[in-house]
Amino acid sequence: MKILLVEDSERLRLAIRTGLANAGYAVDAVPDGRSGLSYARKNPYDLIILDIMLPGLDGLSVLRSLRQDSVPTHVLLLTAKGSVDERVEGLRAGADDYLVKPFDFEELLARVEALVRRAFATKAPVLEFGDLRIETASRRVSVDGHEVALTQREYRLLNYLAHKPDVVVSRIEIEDHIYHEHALPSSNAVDSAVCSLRAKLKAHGYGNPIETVRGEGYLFAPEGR
Amino acid sequence: MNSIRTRILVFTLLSSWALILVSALVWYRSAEGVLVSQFDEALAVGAGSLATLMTTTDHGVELEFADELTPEFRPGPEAAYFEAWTADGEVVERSKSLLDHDLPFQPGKLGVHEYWNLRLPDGRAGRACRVGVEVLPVEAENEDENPPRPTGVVATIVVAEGRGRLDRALAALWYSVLVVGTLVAFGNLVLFHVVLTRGLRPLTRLGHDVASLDPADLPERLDLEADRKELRPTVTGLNVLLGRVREAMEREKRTTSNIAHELMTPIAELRSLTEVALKWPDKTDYALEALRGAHDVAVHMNGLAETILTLARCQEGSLGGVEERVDAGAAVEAAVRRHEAAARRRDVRVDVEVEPGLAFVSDPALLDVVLSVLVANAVDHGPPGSPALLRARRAGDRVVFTFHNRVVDLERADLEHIAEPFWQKSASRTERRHTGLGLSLASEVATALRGSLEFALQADEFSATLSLPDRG
Repeated sequence: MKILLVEDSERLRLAIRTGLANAGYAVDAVPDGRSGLSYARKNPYDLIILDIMLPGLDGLSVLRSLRQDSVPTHVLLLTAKGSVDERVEGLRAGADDYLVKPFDFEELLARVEALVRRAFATKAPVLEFGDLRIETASRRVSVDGHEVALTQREYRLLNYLAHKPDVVVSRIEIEDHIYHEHALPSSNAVDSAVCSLRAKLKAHGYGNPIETVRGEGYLFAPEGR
Repeated sequence: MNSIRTRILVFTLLSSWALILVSALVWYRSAEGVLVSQFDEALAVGAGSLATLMTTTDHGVELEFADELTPEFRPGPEAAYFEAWTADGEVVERSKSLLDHDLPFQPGKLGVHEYWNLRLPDGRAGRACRVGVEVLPVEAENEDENPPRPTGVVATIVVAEGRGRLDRALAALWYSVLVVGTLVAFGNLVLFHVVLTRGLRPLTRLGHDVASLDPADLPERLDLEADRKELRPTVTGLNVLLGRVREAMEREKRTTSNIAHELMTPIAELRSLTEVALKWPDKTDYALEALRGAHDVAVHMNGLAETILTLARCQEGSLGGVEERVDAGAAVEAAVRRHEAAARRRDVRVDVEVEPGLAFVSDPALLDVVLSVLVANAVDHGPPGSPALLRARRAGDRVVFTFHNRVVDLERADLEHIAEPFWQKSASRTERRHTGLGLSLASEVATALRGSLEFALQADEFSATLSLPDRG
């Protein structure tokens, strides 16, 4: 899952970006509204976390521009001002959620997860495919109750594919959603991650849930569906 | 008696009632005097009539009195009395009504009528008139053209009459005065109440409107009876005051909101930095980064607190007591030097023009604070590559420092708020070095130095003029 963070405070940007990355998200972080708008238009994000009071172009203007351009990405507004009027204005401008600074990081994570689930039309925080169980809140993956130790990259890959079962997903799309902009993955990075993931799941007695669709990409077709 | 209306009503009523009482008494006394003098005149006429009937004969003084012509002197319930005496007190004649009583004798003064009240022989209250008369002998036939005036004798006549009629008239007069006075007094009470209520209605409405003002939603102005001449200054003053209160409240709201915003951001930074570090304690690189960030936030908030403290000290007037001779040029140079690095970084050229030898008496520490803030403002807010000009000159008994610099997005309307604590042109707090306290601090320090700080904007040129008195 890939998130765009638009926040002018350098320290807050660092904390949120690090926290979200640790939670298994690929994060692009920019410090102002114009960059945020440009990034959001160019890249397919699963969620945008947008500060309202930004230098240059403010968050609400960015949001309105995105909605005018029909960018459907869910937007979580972040601001130091939390009056009812401001929240209503933000939600009416097209935001999907609102969080007032200072916030509890766990709450931010929970809201991010909820919005990501909504983006994939899923309501449950736990994805289950037979013996395979993915707990998105704790990033815990298990097969038949036994935890599978995954790297951040493998988890992101599994999480993304698990949100799009029975849909062929291209390598580029996978790259777009599991790597942040500065990651510069190698040409076979996705293939390598898929191999590694398959091996770990197989080692825990779970059959191959990721099929290769030649020339197109990968298809998540797990057991027990 | 806290009510103005009650006070006016009571004082007006008491005054009017006192006037009514005095007028009634004067009126009663005058009427009483008239009635009594009319009564006395009647007695005097009676005495005069009797005097004309008196003559002297060889037998002495006689009064040719005819009872049938003066029935009032006959005995009866409403009888009148008279008695006449010679000068030595010998009774000449008395009315039949006296029976065997006498009226009190005292020789009367010739031609002088004396009146007094007395108890009549029949027990009634009465009034008497005494007059001394000269009784002449009966004129004899005399053919002389100018006969000698006959010599008379002096006699005293007293006429008395019951004063029941007079007293009844006086009582009726007294009651009418009492009734009219009471009616007028009561009428005054009602009239004054109505007049005061109507007259004070604008004042009552003003009081009601002022009392019902909602501090949370003050109106633009009070639309009251400003056409009432007496209320015009009050309403005008209230509207001016209202305008200032609204302005102050708006400023306070903005300041509170700005303070909240100014504090929320560093708190949010601290909280997020530390929460992420605590959630993933094994990420030591991040933990170190978070610690550095937390330290920077603490330093920033420390500076913020110190500035707020200085601001508070300025506002409470506990600063600005020191008086020393200050070299204006050196003070400006020191302030410019402090911001040299920032000016270089932003490529802002700072030119200084100070009147040679300009020195004055002021508080050097506070002067340094205000000059430093103004130099920082010129350096930090001028667009990169733009010039800034600092001038210092003497103007009479004042020293004037002028700071000119270019600005990018400042508008004339912003000048109203520019010295408000925590005000910043940009709603975002990206420039963490700025807190929006600089110019408000400079403004308060200028006031503490008994000077003034004014801002102006001409096109894209911003100027701050600091005018300080030479306290020497």
